[in-house]
Amino acid sequence: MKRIFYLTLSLIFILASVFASGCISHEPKPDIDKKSASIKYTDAQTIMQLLIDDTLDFGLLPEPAASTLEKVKGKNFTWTRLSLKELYDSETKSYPQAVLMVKNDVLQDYPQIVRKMHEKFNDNATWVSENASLAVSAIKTNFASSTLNPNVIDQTVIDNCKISWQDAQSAKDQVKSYIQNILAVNDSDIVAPAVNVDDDFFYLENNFVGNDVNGKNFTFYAPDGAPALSIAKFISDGENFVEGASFDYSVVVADDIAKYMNGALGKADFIVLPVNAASKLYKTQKYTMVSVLTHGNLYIMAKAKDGNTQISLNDLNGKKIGVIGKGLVPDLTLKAVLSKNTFEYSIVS
Amino acid sequence: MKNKDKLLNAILPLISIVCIIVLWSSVAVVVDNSYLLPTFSQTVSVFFSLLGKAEFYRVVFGTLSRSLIAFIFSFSLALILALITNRRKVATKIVAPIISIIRVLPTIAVVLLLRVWTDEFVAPILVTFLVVFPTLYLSVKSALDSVDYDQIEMCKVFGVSSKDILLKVKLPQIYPPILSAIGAGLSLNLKLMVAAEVLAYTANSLGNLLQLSKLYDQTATMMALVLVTVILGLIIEGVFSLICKKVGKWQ
Amino acid sequence: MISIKNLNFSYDDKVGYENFNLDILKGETTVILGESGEGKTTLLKILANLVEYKGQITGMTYPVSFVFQNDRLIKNLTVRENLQLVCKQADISLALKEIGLGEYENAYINTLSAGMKRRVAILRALLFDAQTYLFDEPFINLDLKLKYNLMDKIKDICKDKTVILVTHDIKEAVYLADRIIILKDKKITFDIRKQNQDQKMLENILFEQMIK
Repeated sequence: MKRIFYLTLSLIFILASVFASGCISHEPKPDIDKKSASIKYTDAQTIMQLLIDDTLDFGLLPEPAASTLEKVKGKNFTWTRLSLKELYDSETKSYPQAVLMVKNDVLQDYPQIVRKMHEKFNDNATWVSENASLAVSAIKTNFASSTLNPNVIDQTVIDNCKISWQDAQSAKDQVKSYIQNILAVNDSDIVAPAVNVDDDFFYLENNFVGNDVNGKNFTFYAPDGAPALSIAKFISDGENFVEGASFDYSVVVADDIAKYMNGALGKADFIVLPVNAASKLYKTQKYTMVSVLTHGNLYIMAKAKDGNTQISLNDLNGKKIGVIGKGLVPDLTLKAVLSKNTFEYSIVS
Repeated sequence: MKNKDKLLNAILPLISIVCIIVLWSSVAVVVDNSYLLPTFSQTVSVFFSLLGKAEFYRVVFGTLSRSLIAFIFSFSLALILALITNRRKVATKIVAPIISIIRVLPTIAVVLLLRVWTDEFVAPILVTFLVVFPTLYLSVKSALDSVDYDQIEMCKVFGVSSKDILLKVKLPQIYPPILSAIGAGLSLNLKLMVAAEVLAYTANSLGNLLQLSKLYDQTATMMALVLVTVILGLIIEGVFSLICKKVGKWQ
Repeated sequence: MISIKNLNFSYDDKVGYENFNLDILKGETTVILGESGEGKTTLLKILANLVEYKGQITGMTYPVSFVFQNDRLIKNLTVRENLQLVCKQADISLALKEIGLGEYENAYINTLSAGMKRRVAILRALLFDAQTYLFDEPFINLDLKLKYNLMDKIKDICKDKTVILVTHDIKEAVYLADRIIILKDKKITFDIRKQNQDQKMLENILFEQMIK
């Protein structure tokens, strides 16, 4: 009786293991006629390591990781890169990344602040580009928890972020089309990375001079990373834009930036957000987009062996690419690019 | 039981749930921000819309089947080890420190480590196993150890057959505490599985969907998914407590 | 005859049986009298072959019927099921009626009072068909009327059987026994056969012997 009991238990145990191992995901066989690539999600450090030891042929990396990787020298290889933004749009060579949102009532009452911001922004951007280390330290001294690394951020890196003020109306088509493209690669019925926006998303300039700011205090939030850099001079100077106004700047953990839009943790008057998050929250939180501040800078990195530095997207056919940020903009943008170029993609573990 | 008591037993839990809903709704009105705290009706409406989507069922099935696999592993091993250590005290001394170590492992760190060592399907199963198994083992062992040996001795004196001893004396003593341990283990199992799936980015999982909802600022979806997990947990516990009641009707 | 020769049994820390000898006649009731802790229960367990011992015991037939100091009834079974587990042939309904527990036949054990459980335990032992009956303080939790009722039942059912009963109650001993042995410090200090003595006188003798 006992023997049967033990035997049955062991059988259950064995069956369960077999069932489990049978269910573990396996790589699907690629269709020879279609182009396909497999995506492996992991973090930047791991991608760099796997590229160095040839486990991965391709890796999607942001700056400054891409430039850091290029500093790794080898006997018979160098590095080469494909710019994702060029692949995304060969004409504009860019896709929108972070946008500046302003609370609707602030916009209504004080449009002059936005005009001033626009005016001063390009000088700010130039300064940041030419004074990379000062820009980084401006952020870091005021916000100690920032993860910006002054050792790796230089002018090239900053230039690649294409920091500029692209006002809402002129960015409208690009933003709308970008959102449509990332929605097209969303395979869930339940969650969506963005929402197609109406025209009311985009700020339309008017002639209203604006009310007197009269000592009013305004809050400005930016997520850690490139978007924070984009306003580094404003932070460094403690810029208040119009006389009588006072500005409080905050650079916060990028993942949770949206919570500062409204409610208990801080009603941000001005906030920089990823464009897809902005599309989802602007209506309920009552904000309007005034400009695109940064553009995405992601690169498909690969080893260039035997001096063969020319790679094209088609080289990804049948290969594995390491990608950071599953479900985030890098992932979605890559998928959009792959789809546009008739690639199928699959996820591998 | 008197009819008045029966009525109270049915109504009181409902009243407490209604209170929770009223509290939730009041806070939502005060906060007035559907990103921070969606209202009860927003959450319920998302919840019902979920029920109409194939993806939702795929996801729930994924999580539940992984939970089941992890649980079968945990329980089988717990039962086998408990039977062994019940028989041989020596084995207890070998097993005890291992169990203690497993119990104090920090769950999140384990998920992250396993994410590196295994894949996103296996990692949550292993993590759930590692947390639930020691608890089950200790409960099963305690149930086995608490068998009344006086009764077994009595049976031996009167020449009761081994089969009768097992079926009529031992098993009925062991069933109720083991069943209740299983019930508690199952809902712990589910909770852990969802958490591990979030950290391991497991495809077709409640955890992953929760994570994406957060990522995509869909707070109402997040809360609806939490509601789903709570309901699933309650159903599991409810079914089990019914089984326990039926089996332990002599108590 | 049941013969215990050179019994040696030691507890962990207490003094045990050393070269203990005892002969018990079959077919009669032998009562072992003694205070608590004198090892009477152990002796019964040794006779029932439940513990290991050194020495020789001859004449015992197995299985024996036993009434334990604690009831040892199976909680998850009813009264009927408890009795059926052990005594498959007996007429349980009738037997229960005779000891006044007829209406509890299908009740679960944990719904019974202490006295009722005791009666069921004794009934179980009596219904079990054996040659030898071992009783360990069987009448705990019973009021006088029930006790004497059951003692009469035992006398009746176990008329020609070997009964070894352990108690600290002198009156029980005198009522039931054919032979009474007093045990002290794991040794027999008094041994008397009941003949035609006056009951009261016998009780007094035993009392004096016990308090010595």
